[in-house]
Amino acid sequence: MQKLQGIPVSPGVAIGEALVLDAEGFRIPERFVSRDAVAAELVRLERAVQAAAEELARHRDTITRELGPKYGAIFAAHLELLQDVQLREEIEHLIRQEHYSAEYAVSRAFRRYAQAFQRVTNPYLAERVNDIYDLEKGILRHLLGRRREQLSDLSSPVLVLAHNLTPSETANLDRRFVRGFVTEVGGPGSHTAIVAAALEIPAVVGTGAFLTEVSGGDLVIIDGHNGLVILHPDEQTLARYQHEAEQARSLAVRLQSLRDVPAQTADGVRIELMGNIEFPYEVEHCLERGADGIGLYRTEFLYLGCETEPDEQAHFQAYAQVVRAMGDRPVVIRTLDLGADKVPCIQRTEEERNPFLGLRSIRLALRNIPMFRTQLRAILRASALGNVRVMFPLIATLLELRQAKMILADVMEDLAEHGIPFNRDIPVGMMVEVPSAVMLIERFVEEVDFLSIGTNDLIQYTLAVDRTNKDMVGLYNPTDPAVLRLIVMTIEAAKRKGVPVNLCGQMSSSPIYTMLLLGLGLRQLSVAPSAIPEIKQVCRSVRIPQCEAVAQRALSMDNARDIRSYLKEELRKYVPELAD
Amino acid sequence: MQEQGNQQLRVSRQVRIRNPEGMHLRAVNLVIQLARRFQSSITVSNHNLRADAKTTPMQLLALGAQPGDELSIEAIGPDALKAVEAIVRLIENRFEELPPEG
Repeated sequence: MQKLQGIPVSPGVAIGEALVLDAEGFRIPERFVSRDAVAAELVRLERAVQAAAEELARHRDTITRELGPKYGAIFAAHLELLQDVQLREEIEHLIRQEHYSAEYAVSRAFRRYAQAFQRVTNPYLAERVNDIYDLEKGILRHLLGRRREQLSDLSSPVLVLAHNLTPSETANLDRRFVRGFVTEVGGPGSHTAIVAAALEIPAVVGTGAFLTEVSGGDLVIIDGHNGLVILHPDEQTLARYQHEAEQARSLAVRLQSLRDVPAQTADGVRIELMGNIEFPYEVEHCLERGADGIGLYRTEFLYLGCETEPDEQAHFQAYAQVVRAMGDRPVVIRTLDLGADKVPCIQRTEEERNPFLGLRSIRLALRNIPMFRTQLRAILRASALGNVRVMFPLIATLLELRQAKMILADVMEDLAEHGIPFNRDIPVGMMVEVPSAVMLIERFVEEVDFLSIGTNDLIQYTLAVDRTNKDMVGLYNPTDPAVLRLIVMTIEAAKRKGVPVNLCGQMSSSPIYTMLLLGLGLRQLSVAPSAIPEIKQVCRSVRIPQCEAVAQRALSMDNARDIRSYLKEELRKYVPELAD
Repeated sequence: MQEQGNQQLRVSRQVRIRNPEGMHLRAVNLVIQLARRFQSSITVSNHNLRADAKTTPMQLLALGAQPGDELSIEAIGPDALKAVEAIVRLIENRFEELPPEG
C-alpha cells in the first residue's frame, strides 16, 4: 500500500481501477496471456521493437541530413537504448515467466528504468526520463496499433491518473465511465480541478510524481476530502473506504429529500442559496437540488482550449441556455477571469514573471476592449431573456470599475441603436477579492448594485500565498483572522448601503464555515452545485443567534487553526452527520 | 591497479563527472561506441549500480551519473589498460568527442 498526499479539489471517495495516461493518452491495461500465447507475444515484441528501431533510424537519417549530425545523434542514442541487451532480457523474462502481455511487460520494464531517475537531482539529467518515455511510446505504438485504447472509448468505470490533463483530453473523456481524477501537477485552479468539480467526481491534484509506481488496472482509492491517493490499498483500508463511500451514498439520498424545501434557518431567516457553475450543463445540477439561482457563472470555458476567440453567438448561446433554464431566478454572469497566458487568442508581448500579479481578469479585458465588448454584448442580449446580472472580477481600483461600467454603458448604446433588446437596468456588481477593494469598500458600495466575495483570491492576495503551491497549502486558510476581518468589513459596508452581498469562493461550499458566514451577516451564499444539499441542511439546523455567537467567538481567536477546529466542533454539535 | 600478466589484465580506475549535464544520452552513446573498440569486457559503476559498457546503454543512463559523482571504470581482458584509459579520458574531456580510431 502506498499513500500520496495531494491537494483536494473535488470531494468524495472513489474506489476503482486505474487508467494511467501518459502524454499521448495511452492506456496500458494489466493483461496476462496464456502459456500457449507466450511464443506469439515474443514475436509481437520482436516485431514492435524492429519497427520502432526502423522508425528511429529513419528519423536519425532525416534529422542528420536536415539539421546535422549533432541533432541526429539523439536518435542514434535512442536507437542504442532500444537495443539494450539487458532491457530486452527483462521484457522477455516478464513475458515468459509472468505471462505478461507484450505491452504490459514493456510498460513495466520501462517504468522501472524511469523510476531509477527519481533520485537524480541534476535537472538536465532528470529530464532524460522523458527520453525513456519516448522510447516506451515508440514500442507501444507498434504493439498497440489499432488496438490502442481510446479515452473516448471506455467500457468500464475507471479512475484517471495522469501527469496533467489538457482541456482536449478531458473533453474527450467518456464522462459516463470516469469516476475520479488524479494529476501529478496542478492546483485548485487547474483545468482538472474545474472539470472534476463540474462532473461532481472526486479529484486530487499536485501529488508529485507517482505514475511510475502504478500500472493500468491497479486498484486505487481517491479520497477527495483529504487529498489522498492510495495505491494498492490493503484490505483494512479498502474496507474503511468502502464503508465511507456507502455512507456518503446514503447521506446523499437523504439530502436529496431537501430539494423542495427552502434554505431557511430554524428561526425562519431565509438564506438565498445559489450555485456556482462553469459549464452550461451544470445548470441541471443546480436545478435538481433546488438552487435559488446561479450566484457565479464563470465564463472562462468559452476561451479555453480553442484557438480562436469565441464570437458573440457562442457566448450568447451558452448564456441563453442557462438563463432560460433558470426562469426568473437570478443568474450572475462573471466576465472573463483568466490570465493572459490562458487565453490562446490573445497575442502576448512577453512572459510574465508573476502572472497572478499581472495581466489577467478585468485588467486583460480592459486592455482587449473589442474582446470585452463581444462578451458584454452577449451578456446584455441574454439579459432580455431572464434575470441576468453582470459581475466584474478582480477589481482593485475604482478606476477599473468605472472604466468597465463605461464600456458596458457604451455597449448598451450600441445595442439600443440597433434596436436589440436588453435589460437597461441590469444589476452591475463586482467581485471583492483584492484587499485594496476591501480597504476602499465604502467607496465601492456607492457604485455597484451588488458585491460578491471571492474568497479563493482574497485569501491568496491577503496572505501573499499561491494557493496552487503545494508547499504553501498550510498558509492558505479561509479561517485566517485577517481574511475574516476583510469579510466582516465588506459585509458591514454593504449592509450600511443596503447593497446585497454574496460569498462565492470555495469557502462557501464547505459546511464547516456555514455557521460562521451566517453569523457574520451573510444571507446569500453561492456554492458548488454538489454542496447545495449539505449547506442547506446546515442552514435548516441552526438559528441565527447561535451563528452570531459562533462568529463572535471565532473573531476573538488569533489563528486559523484554532478557528477551524472550533468551527468543526460547533458543526458537530448542531449537524453531527456533516461534521466528518 | 594491475593484476596478472599478458593475456587477462584487470584494470580499474575512478573518474569524476565534470560536465554540467552528467552522463547524458549522447554521452552514453559515446561510451558505448568507444567501449566496443576494445576486446576487454568493460563495466561502469556509480554508487552501487553497475552497467556493462558495451551492451546496456539503458543501464548506463540509469546510473544517473551526475556532476560530482565518482564513477568506477573496470575492464578485464588483453587491452584492459588501454580501454580504461580511453574511457576515463572521454569522461574527463566532458564527453566532447571520441578520440580518432586506432
